[in-house]
Amino acid sequence: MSSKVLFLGPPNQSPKWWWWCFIAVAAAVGMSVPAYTGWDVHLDLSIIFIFGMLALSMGFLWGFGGMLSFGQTAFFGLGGYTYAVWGLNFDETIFALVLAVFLPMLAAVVLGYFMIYGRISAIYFTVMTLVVTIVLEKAVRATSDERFVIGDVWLRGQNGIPNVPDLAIPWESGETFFVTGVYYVSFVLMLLSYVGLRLLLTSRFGRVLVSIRENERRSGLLGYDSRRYKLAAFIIAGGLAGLAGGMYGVWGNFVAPEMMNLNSAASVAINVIVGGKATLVGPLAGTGIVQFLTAWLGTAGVGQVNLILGLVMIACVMVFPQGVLPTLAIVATAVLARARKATMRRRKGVSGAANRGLTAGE
Amino acid sequence: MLEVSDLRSGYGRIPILDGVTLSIAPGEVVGILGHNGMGKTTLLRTLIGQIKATAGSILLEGREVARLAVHRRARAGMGYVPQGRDIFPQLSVRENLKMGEMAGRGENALGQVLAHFPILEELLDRPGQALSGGQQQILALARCLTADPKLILLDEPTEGIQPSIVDLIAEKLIALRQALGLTVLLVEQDLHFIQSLADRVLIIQKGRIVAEILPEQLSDRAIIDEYLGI
Amino acid sequence: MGDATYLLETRGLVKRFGGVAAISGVDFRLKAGELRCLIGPNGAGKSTFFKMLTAQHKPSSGRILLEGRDVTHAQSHEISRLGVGIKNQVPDVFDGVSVHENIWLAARFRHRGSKAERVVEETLHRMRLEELSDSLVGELAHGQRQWVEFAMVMSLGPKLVLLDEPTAGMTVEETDRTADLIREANRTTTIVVVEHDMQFIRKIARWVTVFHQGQVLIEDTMEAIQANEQVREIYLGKSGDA
Repeated sequence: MSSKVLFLGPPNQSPKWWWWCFIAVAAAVGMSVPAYTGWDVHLDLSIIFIFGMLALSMGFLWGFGGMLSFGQTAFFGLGGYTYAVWGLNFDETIFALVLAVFLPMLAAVVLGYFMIYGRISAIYFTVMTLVVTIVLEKAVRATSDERFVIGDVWLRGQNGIPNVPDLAIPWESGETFFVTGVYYVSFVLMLLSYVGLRLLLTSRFGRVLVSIRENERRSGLLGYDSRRYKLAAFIIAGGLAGLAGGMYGVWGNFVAPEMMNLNSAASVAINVIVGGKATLVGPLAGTGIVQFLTAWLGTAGVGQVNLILGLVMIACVMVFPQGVLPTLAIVATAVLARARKATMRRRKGVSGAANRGLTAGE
Repeated sequence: MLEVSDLRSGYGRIPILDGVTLSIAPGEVVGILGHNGMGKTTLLRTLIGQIKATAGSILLEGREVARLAVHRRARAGMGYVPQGRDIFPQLSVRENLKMGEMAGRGENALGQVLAHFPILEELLDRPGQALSGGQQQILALARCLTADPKLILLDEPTEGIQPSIVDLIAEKLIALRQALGLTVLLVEQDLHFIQSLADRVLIIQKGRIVAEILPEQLSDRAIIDEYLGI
Repeated sequence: MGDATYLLETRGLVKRFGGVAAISGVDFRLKAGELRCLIGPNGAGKSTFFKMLTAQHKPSSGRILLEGRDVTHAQSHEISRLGVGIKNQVPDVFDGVSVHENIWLAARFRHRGSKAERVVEETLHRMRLEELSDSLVGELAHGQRQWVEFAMVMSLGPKLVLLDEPTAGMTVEETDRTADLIREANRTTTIVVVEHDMQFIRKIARWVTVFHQGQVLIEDTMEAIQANEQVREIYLGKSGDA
């Protein structure tokens, strides 16, 4: 990737003013959408934000931590079930959501410690994360017998847990977030996660993490203990995936083992690959594109949606190997560069005199 | 026979050959002298095609071979005896030689070659790995010759071989050269060996040929100091 | 407790791979401020020795002492934290970010915020990399990447820098500049260089250690080494005449 690609500046620099403008505009647009749309749109968009956060957790870990994890859905599921079980048992949904973040983080500490401090090589790391999420799914599926109860909550195996409570509004006791409210909450959480991660990347931690992804050996030779940084990134990603899981429970009032199965794991990967792992906004955009495509294909009466999605992903990998957004950015940069060169030539005349023209990617 | 112009190559991002130009006439033995890391082995591997040239041309009897695959260059008449012999350890001496024969043009090449290397007659059924270093070197050379090459690329034949065998190999090569009119590009660090065989000696330094001297001049300490540093 | 007169010392260092001893008993002593070159033909063991100093190989037996402290079993990042800069033969740099960022990451390990920035500026100046500051390292020429890595190592303010074939793959011009950089660095740091390029070594070496068959053959000035018959023999073979 060229050094001067539009919008794809190295992540270590503080975001420019126009990025903050973009955030402000996005926030404004996001908050005002409900005024002009109906509940169905709110529902659809909320789930995009929620899956977006899940994709963001995977994309962050992969694109900036250098770790390809197919197991973020494990933390997603853990988060969802934690919210459901705690919420149903104690009727305390806000704390349940907080726990939905921390319990997966705890799981990430344990799993991550063994894999990262055990210096498991990259490919085995990926395989293990996939195995963990599938094993977890199978384990939860097997809890359909009545004796699998946590507190008052019956896990119900493959049927999932229904009647998961709505999220209580912290400043209006007794009230809960309904469809539109859930929209706002998921939008704000997604935006905060995105901004938070973006700023994290400009910190010393973020920059060292990227350096480890670039060249772990050199990072070690400088003195950084790469294991600590990688584990921290894994925990953060686990927490984010857990938050998404908790919100999923809030959104659908329902959690099920499907959250952690192979299909889910694959769709997270598809979202990230389509949008591109090189940026933070990529996974979010990818989720949006894929979800939209799925919905559109569904309404267009196409039967084999998954087949089409698979073909789309193959096409994306071949045509946009770095993801849709980065490729668009690169194309935009190239076009702009050519335009700039043409303008310079017109201004200076084709005299052959010292043409200190600027080129993209110098 | 061989004309190399501005040859460049390397390993991945690391450039080793920085524009090598040389030529070899038919029947000549040209030596290349230089320390490790200067590009000797890289040059031979680029000539035979194991390493892709990033720029430059290689003309074998006037024909451009720089873009050809290794086996094509071998069939075109390039023979390569790599550093460390690279004989087939599990195959017998006879089988090793047959492999060479199959790549070449002669039918009874094996018999002809054995005539030049009587030592191998007794060892025909021994597996390659059971041979001593010196015997392996002779086998490698013989195998190369069974393919009846026009040009032989010889990479440090004396490395890791005891001095007495080294002398033997030198004698053999001189004899063969006369008998068969071999054209050889010889890469070496051993002064004495190069001196006894080469018609001309090229000094390679940091991927470039920096000097051409006569073999007699290798006895001159000053010349060695200047070009080799040791 | 070890003898603290030497910055770096090895005692009876041995490294075996299977049944073969690549290093079979090396006693090595390095004083602070030296610029030492390790040379020797292929297979002599200098790379293996170097890798043990940088904790990339674990010694089979023997000890390594850094300022009297036993570091025989330390890990690479621990050695680095003790003030040893390591530069391997193949450049280990962060390709996806700028030269400035690469050096910042190194400097930031030791210093905070503004001090780190100052160290980066100083290093860029000292290593003559100012013009390349914003360039993406992945797009630089091989020689330039080597210099970036050297600069990264220097910005850590190390007591000792270990360089493995720093001029491999460099042109003659790049090699000359590298010699200048190393001499400049030697004003503040002790340096050990493993090399093949004799011309280069002649330019920088003050004291040379010659390895041969897993042991130290001789240690002397470059002039003495060049004149030494044994050394000539191991490099050039038995030349009856010369």
